[in-house]
Amino acid sequence: MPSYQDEAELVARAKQFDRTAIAELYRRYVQRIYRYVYYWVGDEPTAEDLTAEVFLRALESLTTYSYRGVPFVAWLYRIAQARVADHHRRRARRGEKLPLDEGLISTEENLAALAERRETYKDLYAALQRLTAEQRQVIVLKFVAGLKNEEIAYVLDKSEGAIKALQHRALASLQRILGEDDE
Amino acid sequence: MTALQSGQATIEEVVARYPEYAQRLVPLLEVALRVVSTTAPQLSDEAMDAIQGRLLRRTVELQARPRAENRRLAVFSQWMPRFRLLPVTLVLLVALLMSGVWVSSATAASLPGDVLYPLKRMTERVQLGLALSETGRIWLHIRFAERRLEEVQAVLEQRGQLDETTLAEVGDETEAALASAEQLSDDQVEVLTTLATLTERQQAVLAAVKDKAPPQAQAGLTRAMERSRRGHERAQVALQGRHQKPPAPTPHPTHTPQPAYTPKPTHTPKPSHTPQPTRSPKPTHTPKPSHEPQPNHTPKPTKAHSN
Repeated sequence: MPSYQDEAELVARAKQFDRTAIAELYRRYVQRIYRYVYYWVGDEPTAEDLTAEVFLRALESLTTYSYRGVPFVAWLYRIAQARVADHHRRRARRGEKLPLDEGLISTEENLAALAERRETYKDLYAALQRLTAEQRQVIVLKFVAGLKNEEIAYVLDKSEGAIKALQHRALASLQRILGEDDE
Repeated sequence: MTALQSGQATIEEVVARYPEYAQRLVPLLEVALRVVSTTAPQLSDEAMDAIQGRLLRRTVELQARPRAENRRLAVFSQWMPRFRLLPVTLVLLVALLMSGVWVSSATAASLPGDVLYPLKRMTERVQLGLALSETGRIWLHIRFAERRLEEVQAVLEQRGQLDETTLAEVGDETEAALASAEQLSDDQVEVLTTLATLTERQQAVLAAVKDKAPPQAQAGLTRAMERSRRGHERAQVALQGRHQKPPAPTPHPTHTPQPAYTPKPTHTPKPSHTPQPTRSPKPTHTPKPSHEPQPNHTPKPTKAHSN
């Protein structure tokens, strides 16, 4: 795990358009951001495009970022969160299903590769689908992105207390739903 | 979760830290761990490099802005006092312009992969750097996006193939224009309307190109069309947002000045008695017409005398 000091130095250099620093920050976080975005959109080309958008947006607004106890990656997740929400709004306007309605099998290309996973984890996806949007976000940010509560609070623009409460309710709901499905 | 993922802790150790959740946490952590380890696709090296390429190209563009502006100012201040060099400078300038006409026309016609193409792109970056306003810069991005689209058509026509980078450039220029347009306060509607039209045209052109393109270019074209479609929606959303916004923000007054002295009104005179209208006179009796005179007796003609 890189230290904040090391990261702060990289960010400072990136703000001066130091390409090595920008590439380093990108390489350091791209897989995490991609995984997070993929989890929400469910197909690789869209996840790739949204990931690119996240980093381009981050680059263009890098001057507005300043370290205030929140690591750079949380800032990236916040941008990713906004891009994903925007993507879902566009899909909803077109009357398309939201990703968890289809799980991770939205394209034919992914079908075979994801069939096994879907079979194994369909209960989990179904359970997640029954959570509220905020509960889902907390679960994904906590368990898929691996963020701390304070970082999730920053990403979702809520207090840490609210995140703890949300997480508690989400876990309780998830357990209840999974329990029902097992019966 | 981090400790679990890295293998630094077992589920039992984690649960021991939160005994109150032990019963509920164990199955959930097991599921979460499996989710993390198996539903986490990796971005391919190729895609990772492609995005990094876009990121670094954008970095160069952003970097070109202040540097070019600084350079322009530096050159101006350096040459201004040296008026004696003016004739020489003018001669050089004319020579450069004359030779430049040929180079510039050849450069403008160059396509990705040509020797002069990097010069074309460098010229564009300089133009972006020299733009005097953000709006001017956006119009340049729009013009360059149109060029990139023309290049896609020309490359396919001349070489029968298309590479990913050439296609990505269309979206890069468009997105650069969109990103700046979303931040604009003036001229936003005009710029966004143009971008909405541009992205619509891009989709139509790319769809036509897709019909003729070889199979290996199909995936890239699909991505380019998708980006273009998203760009179109983004422009439309920004336009809708713009229309919903009030025309200008209502300024909050910093301080409402109070009058130093409010004069009290003097005695308000009561209205005097309003006289009642006098009785309207009724019309007098209209006299009936007297007996109509009968016409007088019409005298009969006298008998005519015969001779």
